[in-house]
Amino acid sequence: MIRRPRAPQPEFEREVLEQLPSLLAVATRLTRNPAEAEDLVQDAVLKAIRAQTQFESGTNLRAWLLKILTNTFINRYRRGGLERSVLESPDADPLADGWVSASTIEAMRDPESQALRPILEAEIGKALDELPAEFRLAVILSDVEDLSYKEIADIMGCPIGTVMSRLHRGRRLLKSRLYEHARAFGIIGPEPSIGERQSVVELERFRARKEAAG
Amino acid sequence: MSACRAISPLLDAFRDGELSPERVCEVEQHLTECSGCVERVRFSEALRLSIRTQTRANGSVSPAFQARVSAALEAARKREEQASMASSGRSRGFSSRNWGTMALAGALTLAYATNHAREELPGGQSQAKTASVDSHSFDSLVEALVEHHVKGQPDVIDYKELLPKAEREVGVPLSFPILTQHFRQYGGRWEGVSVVRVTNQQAASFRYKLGGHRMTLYVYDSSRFPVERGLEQRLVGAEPVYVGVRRGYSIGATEHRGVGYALASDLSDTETAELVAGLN
Repeated sequence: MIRRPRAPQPEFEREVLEQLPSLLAVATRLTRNPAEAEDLVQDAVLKAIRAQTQFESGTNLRAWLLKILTNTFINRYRRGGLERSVLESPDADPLADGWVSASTIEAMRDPESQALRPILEAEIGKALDELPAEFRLAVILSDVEDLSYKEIADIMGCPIGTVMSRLHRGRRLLKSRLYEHARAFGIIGPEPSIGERQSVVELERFRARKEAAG
Repeated sequence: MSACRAISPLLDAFRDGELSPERVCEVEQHLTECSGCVERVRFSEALRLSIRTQTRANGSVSPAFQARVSAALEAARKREEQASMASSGRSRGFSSRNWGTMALAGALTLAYATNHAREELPGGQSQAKTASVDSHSFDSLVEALVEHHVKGQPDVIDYKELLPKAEREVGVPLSFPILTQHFRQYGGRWEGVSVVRVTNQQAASFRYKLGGHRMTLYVYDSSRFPVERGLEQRLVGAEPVYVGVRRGYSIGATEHRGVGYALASDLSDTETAELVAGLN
């Protein structure tokens, strides 16, 4: 059989295809479903190729692709209650940043790998999946894709302050979940120290004052 | 403690590299004095590393998926080429001396269309394509679409069997995976697909159910069935669509890069317009 040589793949298309692993990783986290993630990535890649004249050469191609992916995801799921999931998201903060002791935090870290202890790391995937979608997206774009707040704001179509708030709340929820998990597995003790208890009381007083004010 | 209160809200931005140089100096100075905040930064870094590891583990692209995306891109390229060829063909001057010939051709095509509209081609038999553009083609397509919608005949569920020849016969990429999924975002469910003959051309017919409503979508080569009359043009967002009612059913149509989409449903014309605009 004689095969005709294929036309060379355009450079832009090749560069887009190089980003497939990154797009697929983010899409899987967003959709929480591998098959839907593949559909989402394919859809985003086709849109990107169609809109390639809008891409400014010399800017961050991955960020541009992630913006298309994110918009496609939001458009597809907006009717499924994405906004509701964010509005109704828990604002619980059992692990307020100020009162957990250094030794408690240190106990959750694996000194050898510089990551979390393996028993906690296994929990990360589930904890991420349970985050409200917009917190999850902000955390992934920052912690996995290393994008700046400005790039994330551009992708998510919101002000930088909102990105910071979503990151803060997302990370706090993750830490809270890991903290509970670490306690359940006996990695850290159940009782806070005296100093920590005082801080908790302070936090509760602060909340009471805030509620009374308004 | 008070220094921690001031510094700790900055630790995330510090770690993310988003602080001004002055603030970075403040935080670094504090970190030389506070083991608690040092541990917070280390913990956040450990958390980031674990999130990265866990997420990137999902980024393994299978050869099948790679091939699927490449095929979709190839199809999009072809569609682009066909669209540009069609538009250059259309722009190649209709001078006044062609009108007589065109009128005769139009009359002949109309007669042919009347005889052949609504004919189904269940197995999708191969047929050489001949160009036939006349002002009644789109009406014929809408007629066939409504007829098909009313009959509600069963379609093929496993489109993979149909895919290779359907795209060849319809003459445009059909983006099966996208079209089978498309209306899911509105709560719709894809029920089947078939290839139908309209006048002397082919179209792919996708059938969906949305709540208690049925929808039939025809996908076709838009250069063969240009929308010239009979439907009202509207803008949904920035997307131009054509909308109308035939035999009590709402019809919505649009075109994108050489591919035409016509949707028949028993929803309102506004809803149908919105659904069809989303196809762009």
